[in-house]
Parts: sequence; C-alpha cells; structure tokens
Amino acid sequence: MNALQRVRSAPGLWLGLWVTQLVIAYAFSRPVAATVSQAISPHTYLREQLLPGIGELFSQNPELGALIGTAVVTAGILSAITWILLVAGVISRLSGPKPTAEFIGTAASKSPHMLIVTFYALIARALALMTAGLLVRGLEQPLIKAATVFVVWSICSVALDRARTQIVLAEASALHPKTLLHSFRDLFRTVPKQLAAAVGVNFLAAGFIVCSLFVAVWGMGTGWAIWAGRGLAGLTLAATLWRIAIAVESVEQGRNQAG
Amino acid sequence: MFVGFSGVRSLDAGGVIPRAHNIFWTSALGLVAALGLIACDPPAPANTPVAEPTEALRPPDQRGSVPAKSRIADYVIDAQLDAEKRQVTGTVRITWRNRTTQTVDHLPLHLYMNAFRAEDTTWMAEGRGAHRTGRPDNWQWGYIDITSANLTELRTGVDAPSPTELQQQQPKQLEWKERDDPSLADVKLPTTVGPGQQVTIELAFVTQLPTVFARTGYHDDFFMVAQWFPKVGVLEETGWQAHVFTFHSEFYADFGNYQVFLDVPENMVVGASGIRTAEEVADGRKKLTYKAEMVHDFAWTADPDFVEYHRDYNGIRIRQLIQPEHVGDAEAHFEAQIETLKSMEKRFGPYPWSTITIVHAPDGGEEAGGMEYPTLYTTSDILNPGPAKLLGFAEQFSGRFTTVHEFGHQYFQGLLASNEFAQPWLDEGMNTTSNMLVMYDWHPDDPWVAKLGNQKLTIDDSVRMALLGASTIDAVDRQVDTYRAFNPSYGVTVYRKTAALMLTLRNLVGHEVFDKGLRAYADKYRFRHPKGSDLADTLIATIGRRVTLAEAKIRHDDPKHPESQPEVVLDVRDYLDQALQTVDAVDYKLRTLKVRRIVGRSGWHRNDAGELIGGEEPEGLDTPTAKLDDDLVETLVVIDRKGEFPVPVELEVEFEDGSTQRRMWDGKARYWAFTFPGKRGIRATIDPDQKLLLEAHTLDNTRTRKRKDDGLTQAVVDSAELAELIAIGGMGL
Repeated sequence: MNALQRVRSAPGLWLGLWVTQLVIAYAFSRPVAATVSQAISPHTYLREQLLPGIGELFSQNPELGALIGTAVVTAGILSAITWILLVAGVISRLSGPKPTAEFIGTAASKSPHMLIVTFYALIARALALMTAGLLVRGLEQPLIKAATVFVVWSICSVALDRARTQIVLAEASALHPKTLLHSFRDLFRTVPKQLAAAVGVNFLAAGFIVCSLFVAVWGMGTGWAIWAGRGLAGLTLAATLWRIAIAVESVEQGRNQAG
Repeated sequence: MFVGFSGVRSLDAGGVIPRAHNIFWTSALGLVAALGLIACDPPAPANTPVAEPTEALRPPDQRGSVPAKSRIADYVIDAQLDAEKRQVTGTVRITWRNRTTQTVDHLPLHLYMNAFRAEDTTWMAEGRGAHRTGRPDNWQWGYIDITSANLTELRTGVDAPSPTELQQQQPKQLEWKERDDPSLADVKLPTTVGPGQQVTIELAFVTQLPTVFARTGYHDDFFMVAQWFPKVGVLEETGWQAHVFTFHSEFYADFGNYQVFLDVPENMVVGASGIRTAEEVADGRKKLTYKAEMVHDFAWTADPDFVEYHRDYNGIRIRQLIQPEHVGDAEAHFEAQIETLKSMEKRFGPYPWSTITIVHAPDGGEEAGGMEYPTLYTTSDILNPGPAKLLGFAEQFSGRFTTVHEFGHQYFQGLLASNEFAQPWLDEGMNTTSNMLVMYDWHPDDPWVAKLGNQKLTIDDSVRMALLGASTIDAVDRQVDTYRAFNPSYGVTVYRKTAALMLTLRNLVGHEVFDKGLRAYADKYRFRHPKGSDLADTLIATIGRRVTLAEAKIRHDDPKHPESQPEVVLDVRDYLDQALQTVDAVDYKLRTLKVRRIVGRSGWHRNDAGELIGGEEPEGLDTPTAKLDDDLVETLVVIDRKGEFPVPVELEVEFEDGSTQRRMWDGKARYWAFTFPGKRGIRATIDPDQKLLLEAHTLDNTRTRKRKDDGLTQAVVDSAELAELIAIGGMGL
C-alpha cells in the first residue's frame, strides 16, 4: 500500500481530525462574533465595500485586534496540543486498520513520547531555521530566500514525522535525542527520495494554505468563503496525513527489509 | 500554482517514489513560477528627450495672469558644491522692493538651515531630533553661516538694477545679527527703505548640509539642496512676516526672479527650479546657469545616479530624475503628473511655468521625499507589494498620490503662496482638497486608493478613516507652531480635516457652484498670498451666504406634524467658522427605527354642541403592528446629534412596499423624530449619499428591521475563523 492509499483507506481518521480542527476554529471565533456584534448592535452596515466599516470598527474597538490575535494563537496552541495527543494514534492508524480502542490506546500511551520528541524537534527546527536564515541573508531574491527557508522547515517536519513513526512503530526511544538526529541522518543518507517526496507534499500543503489565504481575502464578505476555507483546511490536513504516511511507509519498508 | 494538482493525480496512478519526487519539483516550480511572475518589475518607459524650454514662464496666452506687481524679491545666487565636505559656498544678491506703505530699517532673513544647527534650536527641541522617518544615522549637523553682508544699492524706482550697474556700485558693509533662534537674522540697513523704494544687498554664505533630514541634506552622493540660502521675510501692511523655523512649519516668501549659477562635480546630474540656460564642463566641474521667474524659492538636487526621463504636456516640459532601481515606476509617475496637470489646469487655471521636475530620492534618502519647491518636487517610490499582489493588493498612496500631492503644491503653495506658517491649512489642506478632486477626475467612476481582494477603499473613505484619529485635538485654522510634535493632530487636522470640510461643503451646496467658487479664488489670488478670509469670502460670494437645501413642505392640516419637511438652510459662513475654528465633530446616530400603531381617534371628544361623545375602545391597541392595516401604522425614525457640529443631514427610509422617502434635517437640535404615516419602514440611513466627509463615525448611521445580520460581524468572524484554520494548517504538525 503506498502512502496516498494509506490516507485514502482511513477516511474516518481524516474526517475526525478535520472536524476537530473545524470545531476548534469555530469555538475560538465565537468570542470574536460576540464582541463584533456587540460593537455594531443595533446598527447595520450596508455598504458593499467592507474595508471602511472594518477600519472604523477596529479603530473604535482596538481590543478586537487583540481578541482575534488571541483567538488565532489559542486555537493554534490547542490544535498543537490535540495533535501531540493524537499523533501516535494517527501513525498507528496509517500503518494499517486499527480498532478505535487501539487508536486511543496508542495515542494515550505514546503521547508523552510524542511531547518529548516534539520538544526536541522544536529546538532542532529553531536551530535549522536560524542557520538557513543566516545562509540566505545575503541573497537578493526574496523568493529564493522564502523557498529555501520553507524547504528547511519542511525537512524538519519530515524528520519529526520519521522520528515519531520510529517511536510508534519501531519502539525507538523518545527520550534520547538521537532518535530525532538519526531521523535527519536517515532522510539524507538512506531515504532521500522519501525526503524529496515528503517535502513535495509539504509544498502541496503550503499551496492549500496559500489558497486559503486567497479565499480569505477574495471571498471576504461572501457566504462561500468560509466553506471554501473549511474545505481547504480538509485538503491541507489530507496533505499532512499523506506526508506522515510517507514516513510510515518508509519506516515499514525499512523494518520489512531488516526483517 | 495549480500545476500542482495535475501532479497529485498522476502520483496516484503509479509507484510512489519517482512520482512523489515529481510532486516535489512540480509543486515547488509551480509555486516559484507563480510568485516569480508577480515579482516582475514593470519595464522602464521609453524616453523621448524634450528640449529645455527657452523661457521660464509659458507663453503669455498659455500662462494665465502673472501680475508684475507681485514681483518683490529677486535673487542672484552663485554657489559651489563641495561634495566631499557636503558644503555649499556662495553669494546671494537680493533685490527687495517695498510695495507696501510701510517704511523699514532692516531686512529679516530666514536662515532655515540653522534649524538643524544644534539640539536646542526651536525646530530640534520640538522634534527632539527626529522627523518623519525618525532620527537619522550618522548625523551631521546642518547650518548656514553668513560670512559677509554688503549694501549694494538703494534706489527709489522698482526696476531691478542691471548686473553692470551693480558692479559699478561701491558696496557698503552691513551689520547683521542672528536672533535667539538662529533660523532668523536681521540685517540692519544704513537708511530706511520707504514705499516704492528698493534695496539690493549681497551676502556671502556657507551652508553645511545635514544628513538628509526634514526634506534637505545629503545621502551618499545624493544632494537635496533646499532651504539653503538666506531669504528675506515678507513685508505686509501689518509688518514683517518672518517666522522662526519650527517643527511643522514650512515657508512663506515673496515672488521674484532667480538667476542661479551652480558649480558642481562633473559627474552630477542636476535638477533645479526653473530652466537651465547654460552649461559648461571644465576641469572636472560642471557649471550650470538656471533662471526661474515669478517663484518664491529655489531648490536643486544633484546625484550621479539619476536616470532622466522626459514628457511634454501642452508645452510644459516634465522632467523626471529617478533612481536606476526604480525606473520601472517612471511611467506611473508621469501618468499621475499628467492627470494632475489636466485636472488642476481645468479647475484652478493655467500652470504658468514652462517646466516641472520630479525628483526621486535614493533608498536611505527618503527624508528628502515628498516635498514641494517651485517647479520641482520630490516624490516617493511606489511600494512593491510583492506576493501581496496575488491577493489583489494594490494602492495608489505611495508614489502616485505623492506625485499628485506634491504637484498640487505648485498651485497651493507655488502659485497662491499663502502664509504657510500662519495658516498651514490654506496650503496643505486646500492642496489635499485639490488632490481629491484630481482623484475624482482621474477615476471618475471609482476613485480608489487601496484595494485588497474584491474590496477597496476610496479616497473619501481614506479621509473619513483618518478623521477617526486625532481630528479633535486642534482646530484647523491655527498657526503652525500650535500643532505640537507630540500630538498626532497636524496631519489629520491640517490636511485631511480641511479636505473633509471643503468637500462636505461641496457635497452640500452642489459640486458645480463650489467648483466655481474655488476657481474664482484661484483666479483672483494667483501670486497674491491669499488669507483664509479671502478664501471664505470668495466661496461665499460665489455660493451665497445662505443656501437652501430643502424647501419647507408643511402639512396644512398640522404644521407641527413631523411628516412636514421644515426648511433647511445652510449658513456657509457659520459652517466655515465652526469647521475651521473649533474642534467640534460632525456625528449623527440613527437611534430608532420602528413601526408603531398610529394615534387613533377613539375615546371621548366634544362635538360641535360641546357634548362628550364617543368613548369607543382604542382600535388595535394590543394587536401587533404586523397585523394592523397600513393606515393604522406609522414608521418612527429618531436621529440623535452626538457631535457638537450641526450640519444639515439627509435621512433615507426604505419601506416594505419597496418605496423610499428622503427627509432633510438641519441638524441643529439634539435629536429629531420623523414619522411616516401609513408606511412600514424596513431600513433607515443617515446621509445615504455619504456627503458628510466630516462625519468619521458612520457605523451607527443605519438601522434595519427584519434583517438578521448586521453586515459586518459575519465577515469579520469568517475572516478570524479562516485565519485560525490557516494557522492550524500552516503549522503542519
């Protein structure tokens, strides 16, 4: 079963995670809705052009900007925590069909390991991005700079996927940083093609994110934008699962070859 | 970008690794190609050199009125630039004519560059050493030092002496002294200069240019040489007008003719006020001669990197000096310049000079940008939105609007030349008004200034939004030094609020008559230093003191019935006084929109015989209005005046039957109630045509019945939710 087939064979997993994301985003947008509504009530804004109204709204209610910022950050943090709690189960499910109880059991038992390896990955990512930033600082082309930094970011994500997968499927140690370091090493030495594929898929996910940005801007004030955005969030999630599935497949292939 | 999708499909059809590898390259290349497309700079424009004009003024039939009596102060300047020391050394011969009935015994001189001489000058103390873009790096003080002063000639006629005549005069040394603030000095005359007399003095000076700051100075090899030579104050019947150079203040000077000899390094490309009449290159130096007529200042710029482009507009030579990395923007600036010329000549009369030079400061020298001088101005670069372009982001503020604004100053400063210290709004504010008119002319159907996606901001919106800021700290008609640097009110009040009050008046009294009034002002006061009262008087003379905006429509059966439309009259004088002299804001709120039962005739009433009859129960008292017949209901709309500035305002009410009605209110009471018998209102809007640019707070101007969403909450909340989803997805956990 190739990586994409693994994702396609787990529609419930994708759907559950997607709905979780939507619920988090929706829940954290409710305080914003209440505050904006309170600020405008009982009046109505009827102009087709929203920017003047939004400008006045934010200028007269500066707390709104802070509220939206807080909502975005908090939703992100909650989503990250949820993901760390569930990712071991996700990897387990992508390795093959599992009963829900096993999914939950793996997720629960491995979540401390996932937390530790994610923490190591955070440090590694910060160091890698700083190094990349220093390397591209002299470049004049901002596009090349951005692409380089994104490739480095993606490599860190792919290494983390591999380390997590090794911990879940191959019982690698999460406590020792070598699991993550070996993942980086293996990506370049042993499975460079998987690395390229996973980075490519990450570009695809980034493409969906960019599309979401388009939808948010071009669809402002329209009814379809939020549903298009939600749909794109689902596609972004699918791409992320695909990237993880590449790690799962690669680790399983390695184990099979070793076995 | 969407190339990536085909890659996804092909991946699903075969083996993993090679196809996944393709995905990487397809996605990455697609993304980079798409971003690369939008990052391309526009091409440099074609260049057709336009010959230097031979006369500083346009031909008499094209330049409009240029009154000879406005010529007061002539300057002959001989200056040399030392590019290493960043110094200009020179002499200036000033011939000043006394066209007043006053007699003077001294000449006050502006030494503007001395504002940057020390930390404790009035300018630097107020600004705390920082200007628009902050405190410059590698700071170099600027100053001007007069090294000698001589009286060359004093005569009773008003004709300027010829150079030959002047050479034959025996110069007489003069005393001069700086005032407490070194931006001013006085030259004592050995004898008085009476009405009709003129005097010629010659001063030697050294000007040290500062690190480019507050519109003047140097940055690497770029020089913006402005406010660089001693200038005489303006004698009015009330005495000398010579002001200390303060933080926000600009300039005030008399018109005259300038002849300027510049000696600069050979590699410099030079732009200057007026026209170049001679050029000679020898020994690594370039000697240039310039002539400018009927101007009140002379500025010049030099930079070896300038790339030069030309256009011709009805005999006016437009010269653009732009930095090599920005040549792609030159065409946009030409377009803005030509559109502004078209609009302003139509609205404010002929541009009298034969040339205009647009200057672009280099990166790092932005402090020189966005400033006007006679027949020359500095603009700003057009912001490159980069990938934001893909999101539909576009704006006309940077670059284009700066060009519109700074050229506009050729009229509202260059030509009308009001006292910018005493009444800065006449210059900056009226110029901003004219800029908005230019934008209306340039984009008649859609005067946008910023776009994002399918949303846009018009020039009117931008002014209204600016007023949300510090528009109620200082009044408009104030001397410039009353606007303190630590208050953010100067830009909002002097520029935007002036424009808002003028355009609100235009919208109320009618565009045609207002435009006629502005044209009358521009025609009458060309080269005449008008004051605020001149503008107000001219507008009132054209528009009328009292303008009836709504005729009275009294219901004969009940003159007090609120359905009646009272007469609404705008007193233009009162309006201008309140708008210019107070900080009062225009602000209305639509407090109530409801359908209610109309007052009936049930109960006891006396008949003609004096007997009480009737006593019926009230009809429909407890029935919901939705179930009452139309003739038993009315719509009630109540407007509150929240601001202290009463301005006539219109109300539009839309009814369930699809019809609409409008009413006018003079805005004088604290609130006003309108009723519409037999009608069921579903929407009421104050100022439906958005005439009141002075009203910044408009979110409370509309109420609706039967509409569930408020028109804004959903859009903001959807955007917030999408931002959250993007953040969640973007982390790629």
